Amino acid sequence: MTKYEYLGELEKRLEALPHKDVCDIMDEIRNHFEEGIASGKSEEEICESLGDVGELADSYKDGATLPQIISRREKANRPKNSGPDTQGIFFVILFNLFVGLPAWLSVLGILLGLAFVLLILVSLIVFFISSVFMGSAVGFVASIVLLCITLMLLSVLIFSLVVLGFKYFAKGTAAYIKWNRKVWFEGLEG
Amino acid sequence: MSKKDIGLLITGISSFVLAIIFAVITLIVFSVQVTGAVAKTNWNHLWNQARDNIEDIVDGK
Repeated sequence: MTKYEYLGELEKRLEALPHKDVCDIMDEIRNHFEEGIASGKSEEEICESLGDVGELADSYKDGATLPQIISRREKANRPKNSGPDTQGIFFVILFNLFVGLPAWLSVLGILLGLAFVLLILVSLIVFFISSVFMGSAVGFVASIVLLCITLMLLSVLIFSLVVLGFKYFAKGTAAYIKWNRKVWFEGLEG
Repeated sequence: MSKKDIGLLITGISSFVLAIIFAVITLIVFSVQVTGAVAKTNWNHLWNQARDNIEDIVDGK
């Protein structure tokens, strides 16, 4: 496809947009062609780098800018597993060392602490109930029964927090590892 | 958040509210029981017993 064929086709596909926007887009694409030709690329290569005319027009209709469209195309054309990104590796190591890992450990510590509190509450309930049955709480049975009910209700709250906490902690950890992997291979811009 | 999680969260929050109510009731019942126990105690008898014990120690018995 030549430059003029590409521009003509694009202009047709952008008909739905306001005239001024179409003019701006056409100017932008013409400049892109001129810059490309000046840097030694053929019209064919530039058309190839811009991608399908229909997709380009749709991207413009969605409000994307030319640098965004080109960046997306380059990303899509980039071969996968082309090796780690050096900046990405540094970022992942430093971020995990100073932010990620301390935050992860803090949340894990809070969750384990809550689980430990739950264990203590259950032990206290068992202790108070046994004290009632062993007769060492004469005169205070009503208070102890009420206290046990209170502790049981608190245990329900902490149990629900622990279950939800661990569930979302696991989900968050999986997402965080995925993000780390992405940054490691593609860098921050990818 | 799934419906199951929201259900668990609502259970937790409602048990916390109930726990606060029960904690207040427990405190009231406990203070009533302590007041009753204090009122029933024969303090004169306890005091005399303690004085006798101290006197026994002082006398070397």
